[in-house]
This record gives sequence, structure tokens and C-alpha cells, in this order.
Amino acid sequence: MAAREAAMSGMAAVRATLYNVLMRRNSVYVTTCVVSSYALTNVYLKGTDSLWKSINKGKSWEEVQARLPEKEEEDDD
Amino acid sequence: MASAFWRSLTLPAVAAAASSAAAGATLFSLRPRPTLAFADDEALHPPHINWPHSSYLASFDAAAIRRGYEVYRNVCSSCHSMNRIAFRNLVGVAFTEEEVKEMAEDIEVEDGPNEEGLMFSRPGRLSDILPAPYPNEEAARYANNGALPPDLSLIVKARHGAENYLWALLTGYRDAPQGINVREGLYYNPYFPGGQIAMARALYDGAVEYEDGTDATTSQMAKDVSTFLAWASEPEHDQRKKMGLEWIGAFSILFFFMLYMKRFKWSLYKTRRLEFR
Repeated sequence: MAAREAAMSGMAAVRATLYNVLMRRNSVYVTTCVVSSYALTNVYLKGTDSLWKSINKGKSWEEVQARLPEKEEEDDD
Repeated sequence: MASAFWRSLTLPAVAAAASSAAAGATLFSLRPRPTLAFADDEALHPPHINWPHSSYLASFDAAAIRRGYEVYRNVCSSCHSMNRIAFRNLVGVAFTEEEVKEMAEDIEVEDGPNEEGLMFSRPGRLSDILPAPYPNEEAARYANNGALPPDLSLIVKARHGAENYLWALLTGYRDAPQGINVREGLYYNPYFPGGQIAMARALYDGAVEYEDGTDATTSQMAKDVSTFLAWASEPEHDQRKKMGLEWIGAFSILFFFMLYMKRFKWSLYKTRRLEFR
């Protein structure tokens, strides 16, 4: 099989490999879909989250909390 | 004065239009639309301010919400309630849990009945709503010359112009122009519909002392408290915009897959040839 793929050119070889490795058996194919959708969602949400944070730099509560003045000495009121 | 003129002009037209509506809907649509005078027309429209949270992808500024709560507590809360906001809503938004617990413990809340059937007072908890200045509407009116200070929980959604209006109103107090007689107990404010408002100017430079050292000018306090009230009206604001970014982004990517899929499926129909003999 490897010899046949080697004979193909670039893209076709990649597609043939993908087909042989991931899509030939249905169980493997479904597992691939589930696992990759989970991974891609994680990557996508991390990306949008960092985009959101870079747009709103300095405005989130976490960042505001980090630069609060020390409050230990005035706890009587 | 202008409105009295318009009302005299338009009210018969409204009545005529209403009576003809029964006669026939088609005729009604051909008639000239009656001009309605709204109370808002008598107010100066607030300028649109470029808030830190105005843009499609901009979140609230937590520091401004924090300062805005200080302004609300020290100034506004002596007349205005916020009965849809509980102490716990502030946690993780502009205060830590410990800070909010301390703030809540400072107030007395009537609770009960206990096992003897009596009401009792206890220190506030995170789940209590922000304390109201008056027990009921009548007490609020009685204390304020007959005018009811509105609850501020949803005020940003309840007013045209939203936080722009609030900022303009809070900073818009000035002497009435010549020819306008302000009734006793009212104050001139061009942004308030009708121009005369029962609330006196509340924000003066230095009315509160910010813990983060920001200069407490009138406009700064108006901006902060408007931001706080905008948050109170729409606590889901940040998540809404972030979810919008995520979903619109995801569907924009999927759009191109769908485009490819459609062309793929249609390629058979687009390239076949039909012959009729």
C-alpha cells in the first residue's frame, strides 16, 4: 500500500493516507470525528478567549482585582 | 409651548384616523399618518458617548463598575432602591466575595418569622438585595415632595438613550433659560422630558472619595455610576458579546464548508446534459 501511495503525487497521497488511516473502518472514523471535534472546539474557544482578552485588556475583573490597593489596614469600617 | 400647538393640531387627526380604521384598512393606509407628539420631543437628546463598553466586542470596565457602586451607595442610594440586585451579584464582577460579605454584614435585614412568630433583625447576607431607602412607594413619595425616585435596577433599559441619557442627565443641571419658569420644588434639566425634574443635582466634584485615587469630578462620577447601572440592567452583557464573537466566528468558518458542499453536491446537476428526442 505504501508503495502505491509513494507513486501518487502530493495531495493525492495525503488524501489516500487519510482515507486508509482514519476513514476505512467506521469505528475509527466516528472516534476521529468525536475526538477531533472536542480538540478543535477547545482550540477555537482558547483562540476567541485570547482575542477577547486582548481586545478588552485591563478591563476585566481579574485584572482590576490584581491592581487593587492593599486593603489590610482599614478593616474597621 | 410648541407641544401644545402640535397637540391641538394632531389630536383631531388621531381621532379621525381611529374612526376611519373601522371603515376600511386600505383607505386608512392611504391617509396621511397622524403626527404624534411624544414627551421625549420636549427634551434635549443626549449626545452619544463613546463608552469603554460601546463597541461590539467591548466588555464593561470592572474598575468603573466598582467606582460606580461607590457612587451609588454614597449618593444615589439615599433615595433610589435597586431591588433586583443582590449583594451576591457583585461578587466576581467588581468586588471579591470577602468585600461583599463585609458590605452585607453592615446592614440590618428584617427576617422571620422565627419559631415564636416574630420578625427579627439580622446582619445582611450575600443573598440579600441591596437595602432600599424607603419601605414603600408612599413613604418614598412623602419624603420627596410627591415625586417617586424610580428603582434603578433596570433604569438603563427603561430610558431612551440608555446610559448616554443618564450621563447627560446627571451632568446636565444648569440655570433655566430666560422665559422658562421652573415650578417650586423642581429643577431645570434640559435632558429630562419636560425640562423640569424633581431630583436636585446630586453629583458635585468630590462628592465621594474613590479608593483607587481617581479624581471624583462630576463627569467622572456620572460616567462611573452610569456604567454601574448599565451593568445592573444587563449583567449578561460581557458574555453576550463574547458568545456573539464565538458563534458568528464559528458560523463564518462553517459558511465556507457549506459553500463547498453545495457546489460539490450540485456539480452533477450543473454539468449534466439533457437530451430530448
